Formats: sequence, C-alpha cells, structure tokens
Amino acid sequence: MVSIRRKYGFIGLFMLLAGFSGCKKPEFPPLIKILGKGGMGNSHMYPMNSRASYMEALLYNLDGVEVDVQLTKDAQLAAFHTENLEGTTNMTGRIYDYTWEELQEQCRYNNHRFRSYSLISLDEITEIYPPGALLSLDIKIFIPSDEEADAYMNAYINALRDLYTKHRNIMLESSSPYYARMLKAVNEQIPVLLVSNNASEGLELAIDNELDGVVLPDTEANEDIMERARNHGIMVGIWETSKSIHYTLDLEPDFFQTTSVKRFGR
Amino acid sequence: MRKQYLYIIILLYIINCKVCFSQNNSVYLEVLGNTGYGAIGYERKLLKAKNIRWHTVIGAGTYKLRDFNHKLNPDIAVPVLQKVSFSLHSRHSLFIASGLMWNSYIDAEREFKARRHHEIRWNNNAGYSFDLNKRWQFQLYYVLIAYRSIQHWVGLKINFKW
Repeated sequence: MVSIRRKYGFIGLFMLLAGFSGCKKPEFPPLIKILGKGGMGNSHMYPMNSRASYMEALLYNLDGVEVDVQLTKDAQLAAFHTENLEGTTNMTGRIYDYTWEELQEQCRYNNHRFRSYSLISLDEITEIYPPGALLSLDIKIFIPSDEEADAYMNAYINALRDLYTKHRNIMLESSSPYYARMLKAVNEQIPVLLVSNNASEGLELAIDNELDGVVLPDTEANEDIMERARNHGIMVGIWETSKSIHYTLDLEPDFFQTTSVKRFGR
Repeated sequence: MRKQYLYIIILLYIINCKVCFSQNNSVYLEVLGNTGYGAIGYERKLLKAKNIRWHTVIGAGTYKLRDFNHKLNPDIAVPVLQKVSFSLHSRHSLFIASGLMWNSYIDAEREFKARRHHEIRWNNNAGYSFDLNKRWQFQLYYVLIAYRSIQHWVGLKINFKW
C-alpha cells in the first residue's frame, strides 16, 4: 500500500515539475517585436480591446500593441474587433451607428463572465502609450451603405491623419488589398501590411500591391514563406492562434502578436 | 417610523431563526455557476412540505484579486437566491432558484485610475440534484443572468450537508 502511494506520489511530483517547466518564458531573438493582441490578449482577465486590457499590457513593457480600429459616427477612432456590437457587448448595431460619447457611456463588454468593461478610443491609447511604442492598427472598414461610402472613407482617412500627428510609431493592417493601397496612398511613410489567412495568396497579393508586408496566423507561417518574403523585402508578422510559440519564434518574424502577454513581459 | 421598520426586521429575523434552527444546512463549492467561475457558499433548508423544499442560498466568489495596475483590488460577487426543489425519487430532484447578485469589480478610467463598479444582477437557476448519500449532494444547473442583456451559463455544485 505504501509503495503504491510512493509510486503515485513520484508520478504526481514529476507531472507537477513538468508542468512548471512548461510554463517558463519563451526565449526569442530581441529583433522580433512582441505586440499584445488587442491589449493583453484573449487569454487574460479582461476582454480584448477593453481599456483595462490596454492599460495592463503597458505594464509588461512590450514593444507595442495590436489594436482593432473602427470609425464612430462622430469620426473618432475606437478599438473594437467585430463588425457588430451584439454578442460581445450590451448594445446592438455597429460602432459607426454611435458617437464616441455614447459608446463611452453606454457600451460595455458583456461576455467576460458577468463583469462589464468599457471600450477605449485611439486617442486614449496614444495618450497612455509612450511615443516609441509600436501601435499596429488593424483597420476595420465596414462601409455603412453605398451612398455613405465616400463620406465614411474620407472621415476615416482624416481621423487617421489626425492620429499620425499624435503618435509617431504606427503601422497599419488591412485584410483588403484595395483598402490597403488606399491607406498606403495617405502617407507613404506609414507601413501598410496585408492581413491574410492564406500565406501564399497573402504574400503574392502584398507583393503585387507593393505593400510593406503580410500578417499571418501562426498556423500558416513556415520557413518557405519566410524565405520568399525576405527575398522580396517584405515584412512578416505572425499572430498567435494555436501553434507552438517556440516554432513560430524560431521562424524569426518581424513581429509576433501574442494573445498571452504575460509570458513575454520584460 | 424607522423604529417600526427595525422591529419588523428583528421579528422577521427571529421567525427565520426559529424555522432555520430545526432544519438542514449545507456548504457548497460551485464551479462556474452564478458568480461566473466559481464560488463557495451556504445553503439552508427552510421549509419542507411533502416533496417540496424551500432553501435559501448565499455565496461568495471572486474572479481576480488584483486590478490592471497589479494592486490588490479584488472582484467580489455575492449571489443570494431562494431555491425550491421538487423530489422526484429518494435521491433525485429538480430545482429552480431565483435571486439577486451583488457584483463589485474594477474597471479602468482615464489616466490609470481604478474605479470600482457595483451592479445588482438578477440570477435564475434551473437544474437537477443528486444525493450521493446523506452528506454529499451534486447539483448541475442552467444559469440565466439578466443585467442590461440576458446571459446564459451553467454551473456545478458539490454540497456537504449536516
């Protein structure tokens, strides 16, 4: 009986130690920029793109953060991921249906187990993040209607121009080559990258459209893609989904967007 | 007027104690459930009539202890529910419960200011309970929480009775 207890005790101890060793911080070349995805990422205590999430991410001294950007009715820029508010917040419709003041007062994330967290504007992010911190802005474009398309895009571009004067280290991401080209034309100095779920297709489109790089999920990134990108002088960013972090970091992308900031805190 | 209210509260408390002292108690460990991720709590059987039982339930749970500034500033959730259970068989029963939950948590304000928010949410449960023996009971239930919008969740409770 005692020997069985000892046996299981040793197995338990071994598993505990193995668990702790698996939690150690990953090592990565210093040239890889580490960005918090939507602040602290979705594996943390706050919803992504919430004010608390961006504020806590700042304490980890990362290279910067990835921000999902959307335009409000009064031409402000707000951090929000999905097209519709329902599902993740207590409101319905789109970000563009409301002014920033309305969103600030009424809109709360409701999916974080019975706590309500507020949204954050890009103005606030530029206020709290130091000028050297990289803000990788994923520009979400949801045209409200054909009639409003021009006014919407003009307001969006003007809001971005205004943002460029407030923060110097900005990079843009877009999932549409058309809008990516349009964003590039606004300011040639600001790098614009294409977001794609298909590495080969995304890389070809980025090269054809003379963009600065491509942003891929870790499941799509491999050595062949990295080599092709380097040969064309294209930046590669990888966002964390499910693949081994060590494999992804060994590929040495230009930046890595993590959903779990704590592991990379400096 | 205030004194009258005080007398009524004291009277209700005495009646409640008279009823409670003769009934069963239990403490529980809740996984997911009313507070979100877990809680501990106390259940007391107040009345029993044929196969129907009335319980009062109070719990306490937390989600995180430190705020976004890494300062000690815990979230607190305290659900208080009234539960009615219907015995189906000697060990099996179904129950419904309804009550309020005080939810206190920290959100960020501009300039890194932590601000504590307080909410009262309306919690409702419906589920099944199984008595393993005289001491241990398991409850599996659906949770519906109303506050600004409706949220659906599930819970598992392990009760120790005495």
